[in-house]
Amino acid sequence: MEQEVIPFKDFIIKKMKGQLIGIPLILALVISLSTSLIIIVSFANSDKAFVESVAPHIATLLETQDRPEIQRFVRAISTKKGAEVEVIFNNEIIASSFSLERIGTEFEKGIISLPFLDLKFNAGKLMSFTIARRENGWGGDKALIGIYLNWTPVIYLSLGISFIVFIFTFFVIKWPMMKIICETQLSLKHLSLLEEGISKLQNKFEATEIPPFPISELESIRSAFVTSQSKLSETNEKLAKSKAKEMASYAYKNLIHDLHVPVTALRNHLKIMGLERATQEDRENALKRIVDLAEQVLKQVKSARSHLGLEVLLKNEDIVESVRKATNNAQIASFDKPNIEIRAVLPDEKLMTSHDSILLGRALSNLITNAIEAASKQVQVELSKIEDGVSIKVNDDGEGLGQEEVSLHLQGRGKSTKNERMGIGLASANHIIRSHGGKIIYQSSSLGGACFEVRLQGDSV
Amino acid sequence: MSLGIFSVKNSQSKSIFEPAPAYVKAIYSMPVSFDPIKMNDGASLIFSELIYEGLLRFTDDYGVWPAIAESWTTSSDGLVLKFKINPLAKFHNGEPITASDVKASLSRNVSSESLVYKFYDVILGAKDYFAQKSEDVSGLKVIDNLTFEIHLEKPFPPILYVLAGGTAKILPSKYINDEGFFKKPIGSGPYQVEEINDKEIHLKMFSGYHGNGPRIPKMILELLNQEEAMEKASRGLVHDLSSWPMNGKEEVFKSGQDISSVVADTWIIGLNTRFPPFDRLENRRLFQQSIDTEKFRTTFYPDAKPAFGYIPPSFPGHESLKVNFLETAARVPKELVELYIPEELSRSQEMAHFFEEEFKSKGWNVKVIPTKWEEMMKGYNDKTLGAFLVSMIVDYPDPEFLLNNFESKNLDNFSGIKDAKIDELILSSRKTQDRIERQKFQLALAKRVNELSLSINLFHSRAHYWIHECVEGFKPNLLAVAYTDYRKVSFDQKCLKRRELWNKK
Repeated sequence: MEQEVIPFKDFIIKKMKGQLIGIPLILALVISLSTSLIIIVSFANSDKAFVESVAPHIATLLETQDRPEIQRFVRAISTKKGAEVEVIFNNEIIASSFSLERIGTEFEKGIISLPFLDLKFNAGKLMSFTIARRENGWGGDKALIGIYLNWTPVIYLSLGISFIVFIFTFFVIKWPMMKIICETQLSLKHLSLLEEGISKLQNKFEATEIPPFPISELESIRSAFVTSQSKLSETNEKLAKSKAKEMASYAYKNLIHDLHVPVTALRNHLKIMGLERATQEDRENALKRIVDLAEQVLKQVKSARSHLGLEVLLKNEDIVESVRKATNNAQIASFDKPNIEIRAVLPDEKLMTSHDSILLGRALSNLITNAIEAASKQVQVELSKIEDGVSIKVNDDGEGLGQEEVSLHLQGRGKSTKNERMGIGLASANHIIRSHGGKIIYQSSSLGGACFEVRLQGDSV
Repeated sequence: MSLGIFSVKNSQSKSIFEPAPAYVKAIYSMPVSFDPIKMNDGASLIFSELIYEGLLRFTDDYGVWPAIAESWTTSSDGLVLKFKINPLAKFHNGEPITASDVKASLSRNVSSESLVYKFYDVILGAKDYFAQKSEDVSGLKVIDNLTFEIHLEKPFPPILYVLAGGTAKILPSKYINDEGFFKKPIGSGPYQVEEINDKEIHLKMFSGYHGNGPRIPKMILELLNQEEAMEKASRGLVHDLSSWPMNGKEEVFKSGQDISSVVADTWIIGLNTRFPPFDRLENRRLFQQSIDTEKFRTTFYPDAKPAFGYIPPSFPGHESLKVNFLETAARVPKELVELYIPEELSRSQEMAHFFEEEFKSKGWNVKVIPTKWEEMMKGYNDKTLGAFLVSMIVDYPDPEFLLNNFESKNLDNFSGIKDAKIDELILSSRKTQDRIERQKFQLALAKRVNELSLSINLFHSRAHYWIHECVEGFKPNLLAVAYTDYRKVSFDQKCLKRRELWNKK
């Protein structure tokens, strides 16, 4: 079963809902029950205190065996106190306000004492006993005055008061609990802020966007995260520089490789010039060829010099924006081709990728401008996220190029049939893309012309 | 003190009572007298409480409450009691009750005819009136139509109990001396007499009763023996067997209510010192020691409390533990001892056998004679019985009334004892106003009476009253069942209907 993922705030409320009701309920119940017990006990004690005050007199009446007077007295006490009273002597009821039939009968056995209370249960009735004793004289455990608690008013009263106490206590206890939960929720705001900050930082790292927190654990997390991000950024820069050097070295290698063929041809032609058996015509051709080759070498060196001067600065930025700008720039530059329709197919969301927005923009502009030049009606720029990076395709519906020709152009050696710019543009674009660790793939376009696809790796430079 | 006893057999009742709603209360004998000043038995007192009303009334637990008197006060010296008569109080003939009626009625209590004079002799001028030395009781004073005062010779708080009792009833002065007045007496109680015949007394609710009147419109006191009464009760034809204190184990209790209560009584074999061999203390003591009273109690009245002295539980002087008197050196006398027991007791023959066997085993020549209650009462009053089994009921919640029976000059002294110490203690008790001090005399008095072995104390009963299942509000009275407040008794009509349907089925 899939676990439900909910915000921390909701999680806390969900977890504490039971306690929020349960704890006040239990506490209020305990307090109200205690209150009603206290009421019952205090009632019983008040009755008992009254009986205690008349006990010496009852002791005297018992001593003089004046039971009619005891009975009248017991009846009077009962009427006044609203509680039933019995006098028990030698376990025999000798006076009762309950029922005259009980007089002369044995007092019930099986009295249950209530723990911690001076009360006893007898046949479902709550009662307390007082020994009928006269000071310095008659009396003993044999003579008892039992007073039965008058349940009805006590129960109504204790129920009423307990109910009020219950309601009051419930809310009084619930209030601080709610307060605690509210405070807990409030303190979680910092966690949310941290979460939000981190989330933002994933898109665009700016250390100042996460303010410091008053909670040490959160602050440690923030600080650790910010430090890691900063270090990661520094490392990225170093890596980029190292990559750039590598790229430069690679470019040199390419240059050397690219120059090897014309320079060898140049040497061979120079050899021809020096050969005795070479005809005048041969020498003229060689000379003509030497001039061409020298120009080509010069052009390649020039091109390489300009490329090697570029220094790529990678940043984790929105490539969608960079592609959009590059498309616009190319469109503006090709104002003399207003009949060419340029379509940009871009994702709606930001796509954060490490790149140098200026140089990549220039490279893309070159590709798009070339496409506009070559197109007969339309150019389509398409940006999409692929498995390990991004793909930017620039399509046109022109005549297209041969694979070999493209390769020469990418090396900066090709001769454009239309103008020079294209060759320079492609070689430059190629150099920039390579400096990003990416590559340019040439393929036939679905529009019928050429398609230059730029592939950049997403999380590495 | 009054004597209570049980059922009268051979009553071939030709019942004329109607079924419910008449409330049928079975009685073991017809009242010996309908005149309050001559009442000395349970049935008469039951009648008195229903028909008559006194100035005061007993509550069910020894308390005293206003009846005809709306209120009363006692002077600070305790000598004058002033009563305000309830202006709503009326006789059954509709005539209002006045202070003159109170004077005429209470004067009769201290007249030479009175059998209850001993309770009232503290009233100022009572002695002269009783001795017919004066024509007026000076202590009974009419202040105005509705105000009456009783002046006492000396302070005597228990007089309030006497005035709440069954003999201090107020009768209409105008008719009281009429011949035949007591054939259909006029009172002011909650019920009035409709008809009195040999076996039944028909009463109807007195609609002009001044207080909270009765709830049952008709009541019949029906003379029945115990077997008949229980049989009729089982069939739902009798609603109240409270005249018979039972033990709750009887068959009749399978239906109906068992209302159990202590009773301020003591069951004794009274010993008459007027005749030998009981003229001698050692003989009485020997006789007393010759019988196992616990065996008797557990055989015949197991629910009752053991009696170790004359005074019932609840009163000063009651002995809760056995008191051992010194063994007497006397020899068992040769004379024949006649022991009378009421024939109406349901197990009288068994009891007779028990007593004869017990005494014979100890060498006594005892003849137990089961006797009709009426004859026994006559012999008791005439003091002709040597030994007799009776139940002594405490009429008032004060032991003095029980113990002054043993005073030398008391006409009701069944024992015939003349003991200077008893007389002195009774005198001292009556002189003393302080409650606690008085009780000290009473304790000494009870001790002295027990020492003199004037009775064999059998048990103190715990009554089980059988009441019909459809009767509500029957509350036993701790003093005596005769004081049961029938104004509060009613029928559960739904229950009656249910019973009726059940009977038809």
